[in-house]
Amino acid sequence: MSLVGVRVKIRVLGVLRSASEGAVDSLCFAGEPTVRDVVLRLMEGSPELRSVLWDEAVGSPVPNALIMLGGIEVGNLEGLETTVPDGSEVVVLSVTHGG
Amino acid sequence: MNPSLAPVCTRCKSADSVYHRPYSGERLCGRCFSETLVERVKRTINRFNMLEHDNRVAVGVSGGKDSLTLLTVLHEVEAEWPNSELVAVCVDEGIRGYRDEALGIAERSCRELGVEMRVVGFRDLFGETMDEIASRDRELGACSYCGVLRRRALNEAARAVGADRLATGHNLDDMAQTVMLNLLRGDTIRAEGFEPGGRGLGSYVKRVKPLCEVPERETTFYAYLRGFELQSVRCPYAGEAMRGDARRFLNQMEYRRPGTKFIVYQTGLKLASKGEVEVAGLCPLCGSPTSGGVCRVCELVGRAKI
Repeated sequence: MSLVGVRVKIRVLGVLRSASEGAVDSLCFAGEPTVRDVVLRLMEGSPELRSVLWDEAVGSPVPNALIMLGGIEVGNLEGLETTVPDGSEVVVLSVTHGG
Repeated sequence: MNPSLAPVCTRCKSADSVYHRPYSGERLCGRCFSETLVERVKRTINRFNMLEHDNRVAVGVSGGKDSLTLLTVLHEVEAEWPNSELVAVCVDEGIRGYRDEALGIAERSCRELGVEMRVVGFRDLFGETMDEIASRDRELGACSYCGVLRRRALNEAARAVGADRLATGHNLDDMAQTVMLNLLRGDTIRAEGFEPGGRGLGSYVKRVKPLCEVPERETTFYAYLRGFELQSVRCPYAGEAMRGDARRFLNQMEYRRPGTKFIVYQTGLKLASKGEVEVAGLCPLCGSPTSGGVCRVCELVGRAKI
């Protein structure tokens, strides 16, 4: 029996790219993840990325970053709880560096 | 919600929206987002009498998203004013890696828009690079030196290109942070530094901030929509700034209570308009206008060389 998972393309832009070492270009999930799942997985094993992306006080990356799903800023959908369909692209872009 | 089910744009009511402005409730398609950003900049320019139809405007371009947004928007606005001119002025502080990348981005962007670009360096103006200053024992954080010296360098560059306005990419977040920092330091809000329309004092070119009512999230989304080349290297000294604490606080407040940054900025405008501009004379070392004695630039450069 083969498990058919969900593959999500990832593009990390700007200064977050160097923090994430530019290594991740896609992530696989057993079922459709939420944007929150994608972000948490992206930060796994990368304390540097977590330190610039995640705001511990509010428990969200939103104060520090724009996150786009299929070109739409996720605040225009259901925020971090938006479901990410198979084959879609998530873009993460720092708001707070590089002005 | 599936991304294919994004709400329709609340402005044009035809295209799918791509961006939500929590503080106003607008949901905008890419075109309406860009148009409303440019409209807001134009309104800000008019409200504060920032520019006249025949200005030669030096645009401070660092290569970051804010200054590229400023340059692109002013390039669009300037097309309606045939007697005005834009020239990009860039400061090379001498921060290895960080500034090299940004200047490359600035150069390519200026070439694409057909805008003349002039670079001035800390070494030429002050005798040392920022890396050299930062490597010394010092009481102050690197940003305290860099901010003051950058302001002077931009002014020198603007004068060198014969500009009568200097436009900088300060956005709403920068303005709100400045208000917070002044409060935290127990300072008054100095009108000459805060007023978006600037004040031409002595040898200072009138400095204007056309993006002062555009949130940083929106300059970032504009940069994303326009496909700007983005900096990938963080400034190595960024963590030293107290401004970072104010930024975090305001970002958290904005997340919880949308509109907070606008309120703080409006408060700053009210407080700044009551402040007097303090110019007591000229710096005995460099001749720049100062509130008294040696100016801050000469003080810092002298301190850095100790």
